[in-house]
Amino acid sequence: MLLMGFDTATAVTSVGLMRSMPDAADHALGERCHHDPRRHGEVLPVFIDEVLRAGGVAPADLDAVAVGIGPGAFTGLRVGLATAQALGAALEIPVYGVSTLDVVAFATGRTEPFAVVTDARRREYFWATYSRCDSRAGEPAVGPASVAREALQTQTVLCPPGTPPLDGIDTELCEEPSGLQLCRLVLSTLAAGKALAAPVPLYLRLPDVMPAAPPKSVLS
Amino acid sequence: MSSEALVLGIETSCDETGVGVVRGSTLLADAVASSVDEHARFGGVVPEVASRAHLEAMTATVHRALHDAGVTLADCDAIAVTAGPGLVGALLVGTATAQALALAADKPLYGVNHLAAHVAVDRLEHGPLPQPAVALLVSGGHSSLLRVDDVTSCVTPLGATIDDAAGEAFDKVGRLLGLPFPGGPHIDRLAAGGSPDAIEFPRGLTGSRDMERHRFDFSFSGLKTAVARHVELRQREGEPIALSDVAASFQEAVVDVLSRKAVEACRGQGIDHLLLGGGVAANSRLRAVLEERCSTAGIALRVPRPALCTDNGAMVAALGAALVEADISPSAIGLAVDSSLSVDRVTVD
Repeated sequence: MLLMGFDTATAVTSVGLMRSMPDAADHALGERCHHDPRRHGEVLPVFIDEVLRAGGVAPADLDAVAVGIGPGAFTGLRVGLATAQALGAALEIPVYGVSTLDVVAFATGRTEPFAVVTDARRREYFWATYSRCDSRAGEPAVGPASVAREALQTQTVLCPPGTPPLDGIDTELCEEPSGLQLCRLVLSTLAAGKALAAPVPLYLRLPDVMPAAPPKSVLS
Repeated sequence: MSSEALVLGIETSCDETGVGVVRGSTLLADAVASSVDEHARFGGVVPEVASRAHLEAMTATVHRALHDAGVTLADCDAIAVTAGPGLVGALLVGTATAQALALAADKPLYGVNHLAAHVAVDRLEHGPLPQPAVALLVSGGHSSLLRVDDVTSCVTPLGATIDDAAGEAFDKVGRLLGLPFPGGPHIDRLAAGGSPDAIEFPRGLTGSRDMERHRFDFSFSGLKTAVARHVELRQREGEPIALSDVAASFQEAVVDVLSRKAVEACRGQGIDHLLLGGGVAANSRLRAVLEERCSTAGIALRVPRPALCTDNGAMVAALGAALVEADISPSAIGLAVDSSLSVDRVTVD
């Protein structure tokens, strides 16, 4: 199975390409990563093209696409999802969704419980807790530092680089979301016969908008 | 130069998810999913709400357009997508989709200007564009007068609004009058029963000094405030408000300035073709007054049908087909959106 995986939910755009064989170890064909919170739309298609070329394969050779569904910054998140959905539609291949927090957790390889915390902007955090690297213990959450502290005070807390400090909690650094790790997580989930998420965004927040106020007076 | 290019066009600059398919100057499909109802209670388009709706609607809208056209992605000669101007988050859903389709099907990709696409769409309705032409584009986001020497490569701004867009003024006055969003169609209907001369509302940027500095620019903010004053003064005095007269007089002020400046732009440029586009082109009074004034001035007026005037994917495909036919270089696969893309840039790099 030839699988492409990418994630654009954080400041990192990462694309990985991996081939799995029934009786051999999975084979990484390439990965590209770039850190820029505002340029996912420019970087992602270029990386997809480069990774395919470097791997010596054509888009039509892909058997499936997998994408990080967040939680993360909305605009970047949608670039990855729109791309994955369009690739799936055009190539008529399955599109799998994976939580971006799960990708980060999976990459740690840990066998003891821990939590992953990422930047949700607006002085808030996204987080999820894990019993081990490939097993999430609850639904991903969003909230301010006070709520995150309350929820995570007994945990080992891992944060990718760039996460604003959570005062009062000791955090350890972990890897940023990686396209190859995303591919490995998807392949291992499929191999275990477990279900993957649909490629729809995990926003966790409603649009930040208030119903219209009545027009202001122009007199006086 | 190839002829009769088959192009898929994607438009997501505001609240319409549009995917169109065009062969040369022939419209094959025009699939549109609108999130307008989701914005109604906010009294205007909410960018994040629009962006979410684009992503939800996109794949199905692409499928519908291809199905309606009876073609496959592999049949297409190119893919075109609006790269700006517009809402960044909304634009990015369209460009990411177009970039992925272009990669998957190995097709050239054109990131195009939304305003040039509004001009190019008339190819589908009335055949090859008269060039040069003047274009009046009026919508909720834009009010522009353009000189179009070649829609694929040479579009020059003559003027634009310096504050609210014409459609925005309709929305805001609609709210003042207690009408639902978007205000345009409701004001048009209400105005039909009122007198356009009942209230003398101001015509922005038409005084002699303004005409020196802002000859082909528009301003609708003062007009909106004048309507608000009129309504509030009557409310304060407990007097009844003749809603249909207010609507008709407001609409007349907008239409008068738009049509007067459009005809003057044609005269000033020595051009005898005027193209009308954008959502406000659906306004019946604007069409009637423009027809009358153009006819008097010996100007040929071209107005696409309302479904092609509002935002749609077919207009992007129409411009894409013109670009392919003119042998214009495609954009890079890593093209960037530009929320304030200048109108003289028909395509992005």
